Amino acid sequence: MNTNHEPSSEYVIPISFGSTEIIETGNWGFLKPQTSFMTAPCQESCPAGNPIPQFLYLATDGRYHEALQILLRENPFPGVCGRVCFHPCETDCNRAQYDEPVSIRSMERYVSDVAANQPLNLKPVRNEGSKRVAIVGAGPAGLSCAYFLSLLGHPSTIFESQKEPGGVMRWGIPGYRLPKSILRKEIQRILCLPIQIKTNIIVGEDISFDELTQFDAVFLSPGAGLNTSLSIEGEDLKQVWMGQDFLGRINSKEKVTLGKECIVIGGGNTAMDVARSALRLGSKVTVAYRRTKGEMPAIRDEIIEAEEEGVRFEFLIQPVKINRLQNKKLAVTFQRMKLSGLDPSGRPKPIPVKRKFITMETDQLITAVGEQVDLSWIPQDLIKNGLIEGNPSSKIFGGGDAIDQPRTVVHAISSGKKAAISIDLCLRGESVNQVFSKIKVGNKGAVSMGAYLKGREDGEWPEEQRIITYEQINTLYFESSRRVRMRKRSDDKRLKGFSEVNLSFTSKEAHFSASRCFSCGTCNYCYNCYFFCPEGVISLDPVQRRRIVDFEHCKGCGTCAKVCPKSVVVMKEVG
Amino acid sequence: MIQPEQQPNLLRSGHAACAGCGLAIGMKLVLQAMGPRTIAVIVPSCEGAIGGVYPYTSYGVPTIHSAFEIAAPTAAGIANALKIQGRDDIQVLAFAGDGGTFDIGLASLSGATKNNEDIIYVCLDNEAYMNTGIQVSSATPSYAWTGTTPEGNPRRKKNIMEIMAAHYNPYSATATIGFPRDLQQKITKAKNIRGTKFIHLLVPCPTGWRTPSDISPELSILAVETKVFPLYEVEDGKRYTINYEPRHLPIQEYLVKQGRFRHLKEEQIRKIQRDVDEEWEKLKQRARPSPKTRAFS
Ligand SMILES: Cc1cc2nc3c(=O)[nH]c(=O)nc-3n(C[C@H](O)[C@H](O)[C@H](O)COP(=O)(O)OP(=O)(O)OC[C@H]3O[C@@H](n4cnc5c(N)ncnc54)[C@H](O)[C@@H]3O)c2cc1C
Ligand code: SF4
Repeated sequence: MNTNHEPSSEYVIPISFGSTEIIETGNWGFLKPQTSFMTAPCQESCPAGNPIPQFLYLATDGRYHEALQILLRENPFPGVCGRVCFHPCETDCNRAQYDEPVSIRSMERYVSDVAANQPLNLKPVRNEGSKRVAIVGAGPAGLSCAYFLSLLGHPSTIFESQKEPGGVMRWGIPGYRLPKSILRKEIQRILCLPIQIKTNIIVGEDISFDELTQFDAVFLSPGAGLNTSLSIEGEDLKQVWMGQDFLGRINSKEKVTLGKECIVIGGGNTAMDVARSALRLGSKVTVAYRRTKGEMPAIRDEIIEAEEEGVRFEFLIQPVKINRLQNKKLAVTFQRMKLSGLDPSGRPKPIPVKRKFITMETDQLITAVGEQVDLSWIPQDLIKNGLIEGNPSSKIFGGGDAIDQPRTVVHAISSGKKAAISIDLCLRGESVNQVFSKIKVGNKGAVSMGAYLKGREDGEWPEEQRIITYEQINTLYFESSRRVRMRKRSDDKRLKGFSEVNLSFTSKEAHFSASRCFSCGTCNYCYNCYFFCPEGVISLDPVQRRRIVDFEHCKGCGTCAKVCPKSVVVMKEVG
Repeated sequence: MIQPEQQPNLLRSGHAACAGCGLAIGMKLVLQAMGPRTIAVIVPSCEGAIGGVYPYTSYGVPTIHSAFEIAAPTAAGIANALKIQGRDDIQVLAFAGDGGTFDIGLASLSGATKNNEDIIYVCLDNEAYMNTGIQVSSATPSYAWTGTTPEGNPRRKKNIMEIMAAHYNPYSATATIGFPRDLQQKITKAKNIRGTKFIHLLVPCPTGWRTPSDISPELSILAVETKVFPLYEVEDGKRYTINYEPRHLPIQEYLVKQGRFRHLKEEQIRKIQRDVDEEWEKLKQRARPSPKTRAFS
């Protein structure tokens, strides 16, 4: 800019040629704007610590590839979670208090589908003294642990009893919720890393537990694969099946023939998947659950979809006896139940209503009343309350459904990540607790791999971030809007096979859904501060993700802090 | 299309506006949308103060400091000179305050508009003579405190948009800093129209409105959302378009944030609400597509 300010005598009127920029109006005020990020409540609630506002910002900008890469830093299964996760993030989304929560799960799915064919862009750290880790079970927990260990430079060997990896995602969850092609792609992406997988190996039979201890560390994630039995008369009849076996056969593409009518016992995800699969095989299905709908542990969306498809529900009944009738049908006797008080887990307790029984006739009965961990091959000192408990001092860790934690895919992923970090710290002889307090995402148990990698490399740990509340959002800048419901396969086509029920967003729906994110606590380049700074001293660079303020001319009016809809800018005394 | 935010800032920093000045935000946004091929006219007012002290200036385009009441004819003169020189890629922009537009410059603005001079006239309305120490103007709203109306302004704000519409000029629009993209789109639109374009730009003034220095954009948004200042366009004096459907917030939300309304009584607030609702209904009527006259068969 021209700063030559010599007045010239050639002109009859005075002309200013100099720029006011030489005047340091920054001295007029002592407060200066500082950027200070906060953690969004959705991110805190995601057990995997998915960087939700960040990935949604990139998605709004159409940068799907980058969006996927930052998701992959915290979660190797965005395509799976984008379909089957119970999405606690959406429950805690700040926008829920304004109009409707952001469609976070559907966006995770969209981003991972659109960018699925892009190569993994994450570079494993170089690790001089890399160690070998044994992992038992290639479910989401085991695969995540192997994945994160690779990013930390440690090769691993997974032992898996089945012929293919995936665990429940492969053999339990049916294709109409999670297409196998999606799962296969995500597993392939993981197995491109230095991971050795040995399938058809049952630890405890084909190799002994002791052989595992030859590795530098062990991660146990065998899941909860044992069906819980009903322990009632008639359970061993031919027409009485176990839920997991049934799903396993369907997922192996075995031809399964079911009776005309089918009763499913249970209220969890397995029960819902069994019921909906049975519908697809042409049965009329009734689910019998001993509590009420409100207490069903299955994911809400699954219950709704089961109802939509025509599954009938009978609540507050529990089977006590199964008889085979002359006509080859089953007569199932149920005890009427009522809810009274709370059980040790804090849920309403079902107790029998005296002398009240009902009987139902059916061709088929499938039980899905919970799963247990097979502990037959686990040393006693690693067992507690029917679950596995790791022992870091002997470098043995546990994760997923086999340990004491909620049984969901994303919790399994989270446990795999935490174990990978613990193993890395243990093998390098560092204190676990200290580091975990620095990499946590909020206070609900999630940790950040991004933060760990950065801290491990540069010794720079992030500052602790507060959680941003709804009250800190300036909603004046948001127009109220409804979220997009994802299109579903039409009712008549839905039950004809195992094709995916939920069809994806269109690109327009995806853009709109991503742009509904308030971006709580994170800059998403809304340009408010840029537009509204009276001094014009703010420059933004969305590509390098920078926000620069020229303090020499900032008068400290505080406008930028006030207009930031997500309280990212705060005024602080400087100098 | 290049987004306005990617275009250069033509109001340089180091200018002398008060901290948090809404008018500076307004000028910055307007100049950015105008672009460098612009000659600006300013008049003695905050614009002059913001312009800096000789020999320095904050304006990034050639700017002429004219007399208080003649922003429009000065701009018209320059526009005509450019036309004679055959330089039709340069736009002439006149900035004047509410005093210089609603009151003292009204006759000269009317004359220039009557001739449909090819200029963009931006009235930076901060609703009083702020630069001289907060005296009432005919743009000051009802009951607002100013230095010369210590009990509150007894008169209603003049409807400048209707006065302009009565000239049947090709384009007039209201705009305010709280809606920067709307404002910049209107400037861009005005650049492509020949004749007199008028932008009524509401700019909150922390000093004169007795507000903290950080809420000018928020007040500007609230002015729109409470319908105090609807965003609309008038083409050829007759085609009205409402650009934004307000949230219909109660008027209190706008008033309580401003010291100049602190003394208001309940009934005065109710009166303001009635006036605002009435004006909004009138505007909606005008903006309605006119019913088709039935053809004789
Ligand atoms: C039918 C069903 C539906 C579900 N739906 C959902 C859902 O929609 N959303 C959700 O979040 N969660 C759901 N869940 C829960 C979720 O699937 C589990 O929490 C998750 O899969 C646990 O992961 P994991 O890695 O611990 O165990 P698993 O997925 O069970 O994997 C364990 C792996 O270890 C292998 N293994 C076991 N023992 C040995 C051994 N001795 N040697 C070698 N390998 C061994 C097994 O073959 C298996 O592959 C569902 C569960 C079921 C059963
Ligand atoms: S809006 Fe501009 S002048 Fe005001 S505090 Fe922020 S950077 Fe400084």
